[in-house]
Amino acid sequence: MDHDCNFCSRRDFLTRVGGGFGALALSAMLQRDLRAANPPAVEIDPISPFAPRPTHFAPTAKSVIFLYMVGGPSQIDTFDYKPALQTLSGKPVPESIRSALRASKHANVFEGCKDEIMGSPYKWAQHGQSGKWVSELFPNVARHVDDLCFIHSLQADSNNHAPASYQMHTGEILAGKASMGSWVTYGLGTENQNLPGYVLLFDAGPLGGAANYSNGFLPPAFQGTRLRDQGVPVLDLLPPEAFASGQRASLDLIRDLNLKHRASRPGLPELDARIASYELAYRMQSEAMEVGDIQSESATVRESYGIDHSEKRLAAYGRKCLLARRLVERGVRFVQVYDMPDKDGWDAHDNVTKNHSPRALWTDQPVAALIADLKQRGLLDETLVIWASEFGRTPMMQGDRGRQHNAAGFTIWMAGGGVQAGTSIGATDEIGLMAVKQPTPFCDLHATILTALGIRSDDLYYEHNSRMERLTGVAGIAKVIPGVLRARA
Amino acid sequence: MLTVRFAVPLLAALSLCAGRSEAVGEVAFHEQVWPILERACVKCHGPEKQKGELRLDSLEAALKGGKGGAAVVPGNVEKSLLRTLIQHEQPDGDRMPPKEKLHPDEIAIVEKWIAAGALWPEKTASPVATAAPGEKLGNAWSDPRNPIVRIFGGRRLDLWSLRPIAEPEQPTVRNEAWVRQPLDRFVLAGIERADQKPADEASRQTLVRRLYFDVIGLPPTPEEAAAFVADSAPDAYERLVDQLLASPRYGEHWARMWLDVVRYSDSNGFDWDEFRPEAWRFRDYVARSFNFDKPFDKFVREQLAGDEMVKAEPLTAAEQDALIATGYLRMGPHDNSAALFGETKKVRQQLMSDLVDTTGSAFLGMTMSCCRCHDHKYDPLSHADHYRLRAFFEPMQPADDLPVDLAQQQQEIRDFNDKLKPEIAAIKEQIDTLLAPVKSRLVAERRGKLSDEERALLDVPAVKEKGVSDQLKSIQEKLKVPDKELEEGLDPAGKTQHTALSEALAALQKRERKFSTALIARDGTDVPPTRVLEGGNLEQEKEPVVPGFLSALDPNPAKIDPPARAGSTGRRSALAEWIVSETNPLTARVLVNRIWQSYFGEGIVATANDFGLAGARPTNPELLDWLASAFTRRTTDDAATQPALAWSLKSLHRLILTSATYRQSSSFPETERAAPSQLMARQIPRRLSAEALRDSMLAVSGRLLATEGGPPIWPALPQEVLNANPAVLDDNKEKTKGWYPSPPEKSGVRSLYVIQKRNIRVPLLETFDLPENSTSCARRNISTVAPQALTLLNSPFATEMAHAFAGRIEAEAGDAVEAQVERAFALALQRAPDAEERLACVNFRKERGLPEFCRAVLNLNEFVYFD
Repeated sequence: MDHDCNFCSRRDFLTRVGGGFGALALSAMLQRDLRAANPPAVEIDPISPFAPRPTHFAPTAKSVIFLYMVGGPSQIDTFDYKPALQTLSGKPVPESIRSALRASKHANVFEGCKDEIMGSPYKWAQHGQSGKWVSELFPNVARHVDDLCFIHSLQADSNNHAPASYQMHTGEILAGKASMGSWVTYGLGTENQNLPGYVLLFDAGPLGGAANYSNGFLPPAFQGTRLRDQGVPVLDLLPPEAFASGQRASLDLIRDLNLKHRASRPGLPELDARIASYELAYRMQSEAMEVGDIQSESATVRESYGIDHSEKRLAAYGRKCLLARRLVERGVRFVQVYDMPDKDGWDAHDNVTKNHSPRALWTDQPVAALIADLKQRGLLDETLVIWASEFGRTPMMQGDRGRQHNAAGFTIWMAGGGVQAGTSIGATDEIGLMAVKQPTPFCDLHATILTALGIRSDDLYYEHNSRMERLTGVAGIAKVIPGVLRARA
Repeated sequence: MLTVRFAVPLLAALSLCAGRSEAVGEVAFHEQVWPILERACVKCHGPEKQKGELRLDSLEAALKGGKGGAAVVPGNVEKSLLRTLIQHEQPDGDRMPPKEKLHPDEIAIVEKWIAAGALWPEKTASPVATAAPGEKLGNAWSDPRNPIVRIFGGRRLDLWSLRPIAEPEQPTVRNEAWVRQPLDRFVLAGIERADQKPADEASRQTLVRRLYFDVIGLPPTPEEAAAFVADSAPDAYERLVDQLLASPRYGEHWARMWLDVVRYSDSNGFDWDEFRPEAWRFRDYVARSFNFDKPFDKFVREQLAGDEMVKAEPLTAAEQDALIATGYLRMGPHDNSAALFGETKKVRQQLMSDLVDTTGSAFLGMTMSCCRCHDHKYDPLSHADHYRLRAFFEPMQPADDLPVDLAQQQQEIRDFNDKLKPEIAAIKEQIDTLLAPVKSRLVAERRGKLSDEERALLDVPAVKEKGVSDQLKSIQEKLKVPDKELEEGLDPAGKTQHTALSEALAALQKRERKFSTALIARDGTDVPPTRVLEGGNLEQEKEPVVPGFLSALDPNPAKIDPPARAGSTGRRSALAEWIVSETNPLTARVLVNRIWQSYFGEGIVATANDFGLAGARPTNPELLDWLASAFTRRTTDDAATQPALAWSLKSLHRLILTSATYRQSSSFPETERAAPSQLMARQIPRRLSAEALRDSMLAVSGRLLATEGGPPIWPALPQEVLNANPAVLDDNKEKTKGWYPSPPEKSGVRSLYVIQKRNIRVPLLETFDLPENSTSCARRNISTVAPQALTLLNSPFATEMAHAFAGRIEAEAGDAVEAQVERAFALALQRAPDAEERLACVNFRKERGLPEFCRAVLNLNEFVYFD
């Protein structure tokens, strides 16, 4: 059979479907007239679901790197400086603070810990023009405080890992919803059609597993793709060795037989799409191999991220941060990086020092290098970097100098992408237990992130089972956190 | 209304709300007065109890009063008994509420309300029906007092799915010769109205492949396909339909449809995602029920209330199944770690709403999740409707320890274990005797180390005071000798003897037989009240409700009869009866639509879980109703036009499969424009589901293992895939958090039997659109993404299948390359290659070898799609 000619006759088609790594999700097309009560928020071209889409207004960020700290790092041992904690160390929680917490929906934060305040085991110092207090855990990140915007008053709706983590990722404490990366690529598409728009980097996933980063009810085109930071970057990317040399011949045979099959079945775009998906898979191999080749970076860069560091876990996290930069540089929209190297994360129930000191060591240098590198390349202005977890930890002691979960008030920070650098927003009480100034629910954080990307959070919805699902919730009550973003021009 | 984000003190909330509702004088009844009555009075003077024959949940009832006369005299505070009682001024000493007097502010509000005329405004009146005792309210279409009429001002009643199922007349069609089943007339009438023609009948080649995939989810063998193509008997097609429906593979394939709907999983979800070792019994129950063609109404009854149908220990396999069926109630995600963080109540609340939502979606096609927080935004469903449904489930508790063995087997197990008991006791005694001298020596040593005060305390006969008794406990703790220490205290001979005895004991205990258990539920002894929750928020309880159905259809409290099993409330049985009753038009429509959707890619209603106003309208309502009425009809005088399927799924399948509509070809001339899919003027090629694709690869390569079900098979997965949920790195003593790969030789079972965890998915199945299994899935996505190509080309499973397929071909076709190509086509595609294909394939096979050729065949569109 005349391969080439047959192929040529379909060239117009193959050109048309030329875009999209995870592309060609036809479910949108196949979902014929569902007569939904509301028009869809986003019109998806089923042949190219990742095509970049217009924003609602001028964005201050084009892409997002979400540095997710699994397990709940302690705010009062990292970025939320509380001198009173030291003076009250060993004493019970002051009555006024106790009754305020008891009267709130966070009363269960007392569950499981001692009624004994534990001072921070770390030394603190002020840094930068902003004079921000940072503990000795993050000497490198501390050098960049003037690029960061701290929010000290986040509150989660659950004091347990999986529900709070689901809420940070998807807006809801239950599994089954769509993750932020899926929402953003659904809303905006992505710039590079040969790489996935939403990438996950981890050694071990977040607590609560895949439901955190799932596309939920959104079309499968918007699911996250996991990339490895070593070796072949994608699972099953390359053929097994025995078939490697015949790859092109195999793809040609499959294509030719498929085109013949299709010729007697006109009007079926799903068959066309499936043919094209094999060509895309082929193209993707070289693109993915290229982006995954972090050794091609200069020695200075590699060293700054610590990718060859003798501390293996630092090196592993450094590779992820460097890969994240390479991905956004190539137009990937949303990169979610998990620091979890083992089963614990920052979950310091037994002993804060034993848990936090090594974890800070593993992440501090790579995170600082990422900020510096993005800045130096002029990418920080268009990349929103978020450092956050599902909750913080109690000032009360648990176990042998450990701390319990704390959903009542904890710290995250953001940088780049239109964020007001060198600022701190909100505050916890004098011992860092509960947010008292500008308490901030997750939906407001989500609204803020979407706003930086040029999306009106209320207008990014997907109708599912009669509910107008949004990252910011069906109630539509989310507000942009005042003071985080620079005023738009 | 108030947002639910921040707790607002009661009085602040009142003042916030007062401005927004119709104030009565200065008092807003619903925001200010009702919450007081509801909290303090209605529990004893409402729908559940009527102490002193008094109810205070409607104005009529309050005016009528109870034994003591009218409770409220509008405009006259002094003469209103209610006020006298709450002021605790009643001369006979009767005070209300009996335990704690109302706050003076609250009393003032009630007084003001009475003084202002005790208005109980209708507009936002209680969403719960308030008929006089003994009187019943009618449905929303017949009775203006129905709460749905009042809440939505008579609107929303045009929702088609809540109207009774019509028994539509057979339409007349021009092309009567085309009709094979009455349902074809409904389809053809639509096609003719649109001036179109139905497609030709598909070829026998196409039909046999389609039937196999549709009915059993596997391809025919070349021999099966050839036999059908060659069978020229007029009833050959019908016989094949019957043969396939009788195959056990039918239940294995169709079980997936229902398991999607009820969000089946073998694990808990959330952080720990623990394995549920007994969930498979429910999966097998579903497959078995389909294979035995259990009437669907019975299938519904068993899942909702099978436990209530079984008096005591199960006497028959059917009774066992009824118990196992209640696994439906346990299928939702569950967070076991919540108790550690004081979130048990929250989790219970999630479990309850999940059950209401899933029951709404699965059986009723109603989106009950919308009215968890407020009245439904589109549909005639009230906020209270969610909680009325919830009340049916409220007494439910897990029954993980309840034996499901037959009564006789249970007795055998008990008898067997009883026989071991004396032996076990004897050995235990010997061990105690052996250790006794060591024990008394070691205890005495420990006693010697106590302080004088401690010893003195030990000798005080009864220490009651708490502090002291804690101290006593800690002293006694100091005297305890761990077993290990006791053993070490023995002399060498004693040690040998002890080891022998311990081993004998362990051996005996190992022989003790255990009861089989399952993931099931039954009512507990405690029946907690159900209250409407404002905004779905646990902290904002509103009026109490009793079990009731969708108010639009029946606003009255459900009539609940005691069930077969003593000690159960009978609530779920009442719900099940209503769900399958003739007064509920939803269940049959929803079910027949699911089956139709499976066969045509799209339902008559495109939104299979949402038959509400925001969902799709039926594209052919007469067809839907004809199918639904045929499905539920029990007797008929005219089986030809009015079949009576009596809820038999197999009969419904047969009806559809033998229709001309189903048998149409999926192709049409390229020159013609395709008719809109809703007309069903042709079939639509469909992609295999994730399960059917994997099963077909196994079948074609000769690796598919038959199994009778049982515990799930765990495929070996790369560690990096398992790491998606870090809980696997932290396995526990009970072995529920890890990943436990099955031996490779057992892994070739159908995908139905492959482990379905919530937080770790098998990549091959996930890539091909295995649904997220935390919520009910109405319809699978069919996506086409590049990673699917990578999986089918490069994954270890695909490679293994390519080699196995090659091995089979070699065994069956020998070394001749042409014969190999022929056989590969026959096995994978059930046809012979044409000359062009043969040439290309033979060349490729010669150049690249058989396994690589087989891999290419398994990647073809024709392998993954059927016409």
